[in-house]
Amino acid sequence: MNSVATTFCAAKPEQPISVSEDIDALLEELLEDDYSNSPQPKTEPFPKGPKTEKLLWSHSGGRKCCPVFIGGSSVTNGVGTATSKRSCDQLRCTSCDFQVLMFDDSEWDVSCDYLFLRYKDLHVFQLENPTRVIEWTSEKTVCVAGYSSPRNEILELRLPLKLFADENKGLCAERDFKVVHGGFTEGPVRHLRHVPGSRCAVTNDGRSSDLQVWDLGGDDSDVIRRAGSVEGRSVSDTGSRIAARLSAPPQVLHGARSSDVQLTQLTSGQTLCKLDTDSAELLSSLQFVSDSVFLASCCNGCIYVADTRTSAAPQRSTPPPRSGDSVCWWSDASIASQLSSTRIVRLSSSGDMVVTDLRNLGGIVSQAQLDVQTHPCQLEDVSVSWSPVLDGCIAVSGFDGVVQIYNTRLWRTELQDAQPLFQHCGHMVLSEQTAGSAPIVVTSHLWHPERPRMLLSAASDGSVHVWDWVEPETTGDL
Amino acid sequence: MPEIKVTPLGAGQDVGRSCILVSIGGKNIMLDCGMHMGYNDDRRFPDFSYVTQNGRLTDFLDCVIISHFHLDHCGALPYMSEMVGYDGPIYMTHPTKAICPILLEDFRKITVDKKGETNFFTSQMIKDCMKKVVPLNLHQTVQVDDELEIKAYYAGHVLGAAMVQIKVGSESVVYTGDYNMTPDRHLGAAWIDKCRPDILISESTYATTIRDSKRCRERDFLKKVHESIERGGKVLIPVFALGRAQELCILLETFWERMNLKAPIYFSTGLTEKANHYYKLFITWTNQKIRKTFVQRNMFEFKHIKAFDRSYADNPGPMVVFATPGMLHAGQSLQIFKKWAGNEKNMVIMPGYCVQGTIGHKILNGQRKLEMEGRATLDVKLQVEYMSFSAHADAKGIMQLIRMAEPRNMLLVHGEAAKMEFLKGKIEQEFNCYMPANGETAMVTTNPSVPVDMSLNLLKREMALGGPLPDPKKPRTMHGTLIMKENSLKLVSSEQALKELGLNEHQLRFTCRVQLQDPHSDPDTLHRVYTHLKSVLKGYTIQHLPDGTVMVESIVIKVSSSAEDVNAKVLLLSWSYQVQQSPTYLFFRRFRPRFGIFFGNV
Repeated sequence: MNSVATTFCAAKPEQPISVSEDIDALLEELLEDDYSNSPQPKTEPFPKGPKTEKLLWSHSGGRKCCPVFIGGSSVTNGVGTATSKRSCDQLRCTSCDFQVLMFDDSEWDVSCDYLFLRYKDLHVFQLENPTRVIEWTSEKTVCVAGYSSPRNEILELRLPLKLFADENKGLCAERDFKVVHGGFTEGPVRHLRHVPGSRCAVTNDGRSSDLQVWDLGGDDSDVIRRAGSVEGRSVSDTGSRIAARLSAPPQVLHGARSSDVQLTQLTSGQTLCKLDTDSAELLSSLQFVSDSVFLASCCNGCIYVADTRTSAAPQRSTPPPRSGDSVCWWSDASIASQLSSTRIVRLSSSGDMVVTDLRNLGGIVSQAQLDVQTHPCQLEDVSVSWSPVLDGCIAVSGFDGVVQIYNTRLWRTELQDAQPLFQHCGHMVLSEQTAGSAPIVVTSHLWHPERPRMLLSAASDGSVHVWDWVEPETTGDL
Repeated sequence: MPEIKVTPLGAGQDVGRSCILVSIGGKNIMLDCGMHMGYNDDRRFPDFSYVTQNGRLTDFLDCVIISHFHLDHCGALPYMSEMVGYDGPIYMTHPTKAICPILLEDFRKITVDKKGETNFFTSQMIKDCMKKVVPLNLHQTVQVDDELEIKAYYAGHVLGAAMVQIKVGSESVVYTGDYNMTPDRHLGAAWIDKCRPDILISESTYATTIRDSKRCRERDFLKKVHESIERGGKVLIPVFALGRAQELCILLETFWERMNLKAPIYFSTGLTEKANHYYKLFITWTNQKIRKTFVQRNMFEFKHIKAFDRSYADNPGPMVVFATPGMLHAGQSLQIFKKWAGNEKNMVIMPGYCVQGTIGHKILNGQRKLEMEGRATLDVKLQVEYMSFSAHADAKGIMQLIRMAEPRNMLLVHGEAAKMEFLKGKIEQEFNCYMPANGETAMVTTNPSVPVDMSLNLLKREMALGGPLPDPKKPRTMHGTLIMKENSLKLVSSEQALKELGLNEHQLRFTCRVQLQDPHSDPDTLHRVYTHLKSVLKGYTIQHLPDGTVMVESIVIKVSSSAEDVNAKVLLLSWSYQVQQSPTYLFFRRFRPRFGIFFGNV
């Protein structure tokens, strides 16, 4: 049982796996195909005779890979150097020192749960209808809402108590989502923001710039009620982006285009301030970076930085250099105690990722190229977000069924290929959808504000996962 | 209007002591008869005085149906049948019938022998009660009496759990008991056909819950067991003899097999045989995979799980032991627990609910020092893990079942009342939804179809009158007499009805007097009327009869003069009931004013 077998997917490189996790992996795989007499999965963890012979061991004579590359069977094996990229064929397990075996042209069977690896916690839920929004409404509750039918549900869910039990975690059996509040919406919900410090949420249906205001309900009732609406400034078919900040009475910043962004007080409907721009670019997001400074990011890659306290013209940054006309951009700003240390990441539909400084939006702090297979029609689900705790980490989702975590601190100012620090493929692997139906796309992800590696993610099949990943051990010195 | 009444005596806006009274088509049925595990006073059993203040329940109940063997669904049965008094039939499935008395006896032992309670049912009472049980098969329609029939459907949840359809005439109610919509390793998923009941009474334990996937639960369980085994610890899993234990056994067995683990797994003696015996006996109640592979290999004959002997507990090295009872209140599980509690390498995994006062309950509440008999204290150093594996339908599952059965109304029980407003609203988008509290009655008016026999003569006559046979989808009016005799309804022609009932036929005629001024003699006036009508009512048969009457079709007109005024003539009209409804009458009525005008002008 001590020999560690690792195979690699043909397409995506994976990190080596330590022994205890591997057991876990095998186990998950094994449990799934049960006691039926189904044929053995394609990957046989314990290689039998002929397979081992296929392995090619290069005799490198004491040379070491630097840096270490790991790849699939499309990559030549050997000693990797900065100039000749070869995937290392001398991998050994870091905890048992046994050799890592490789099998050409094999990949893990879909039923194999090797992606269960490296999670501290993993909870998998299935909503009745998929959601495109996940938003914290308190420390332990999130709000989700459907978009797929004419009438949808908006739900406030309490996360499993087990996740938050620090002492005697074993004694807490509560590992389910609890629907604490629920309501019905008359249309799809494309965007949702909880107004901090209130029991109020604001949604947009993605078809007009009007906003719906919801009372999330208190302890006495489990019903979410419609509390009003806010009229948008323009007719738009893409829907308004919404941002909210801690304020009393509650206010929201909203708009569909850079020309119609405004701050509205929810109770009175009074417009408190407007973004003063000439152009009417489609917005990809609105975000407060401090109490008064906010960003209006446009789909073409421009970012406006404005202050709600002044009526001065906003500062506009040009799109990053590589953006063509057909390219769409998403962005996110890191939340920092000081505005000066706020970083902004911009991600394009062709996989360019550019990190810039808030003070110098034209300059590039670091950048990388993501390997994205773009489905042109699926881009509305793309989202990129900074980890609120892990410095320099970002999560990217929406291109396919995977949530990827990148460490931007490893990037430099020159363009390079980005390797994910961690990938959550669970939505694809655990999906119950049959072959032939539309591929699973991650519709949303959300970092936990305090727990460094805990994320929630939702996919187009209605699945919602809560996962607390473990940073893979560095593969550096073998 | 006929009504179906549903009154929960237990489990109304509450979990525990399920007991629901249903009154349908004049029949009274009790669904489940459970006890509340959390109480040891009056609240433990349902309040049967609701049914009758004094005397036995037999006269008031047509039958009792038990959905499955969990004590919150059958725990009050001996109390009800033997102590309150009920001699009618008690229906339950074969596995429930087999397992229920074992659990009842087990619980009786804890309550009476351990806690020293009196005023509890005895072993003999359990036996006497079980004699009244009539077993049910899945999908078999059982005729309780001439009108009341019941049918059981598979509910998953535990071995032998059933949903029942209760039907009187065209009215029906489905009671789900506890059910599970996702299959597990040893049981299948609940299933029901599109029976469109008037009321679907559903449990709602997890109605506001979105459950974590089974895979994640199992992964955590195996991870915990494996971790403990790896560090050389011993794992104790206190279980109930039957229920989730088998699920966990299959899980561990598969795990051991595939991982090639060598640490022994033991199962309390007695239990193995008993459980295996039942599962072999009731293999049809497990899931399809187990049934299919049964011929080659019985899933419940474990390769790695062996019978436990009390001496094994002191063996060195890691091991896993499944032991009864599940709440660590007595017996083997408690003995082993005492032995292993002092070593922090060891672990106890509690897979289910524990009643207050038991050691299981104490350690789940984090108690680390236990007082044992004889003033000794026990330091709990081993790791305590609580993992719930109960198989209930969650919000999604409930909606799935609703769509399967397509009920007209929904009634939720076995769930907490507070904070279910949203779910109720959700269901009410499609159905009426009721959530009565204990002792509260939900009433649903039904619209049952009443079959009526029609005489062939009448049918033929109607066919002759109204053309071809009526479209079965459309209502059609017809004339006839409805005779209700004994329990049958008959529609016959009026003649036949008269004959059958020995009644004379009565003729109904309508009369009318019209006063006019006319100086002519009576016969002359009549003749003038005759000629006038003849000219006005063309196409009608108008006769001047020799007896001094004019007949327009069947309407008779006579003339008489008043005694005081010779010029004042009274026109007497008379027509039968049939005419009143015929077109002639309508025509005649239309012309009546003209008579006046005509004669007025004379």
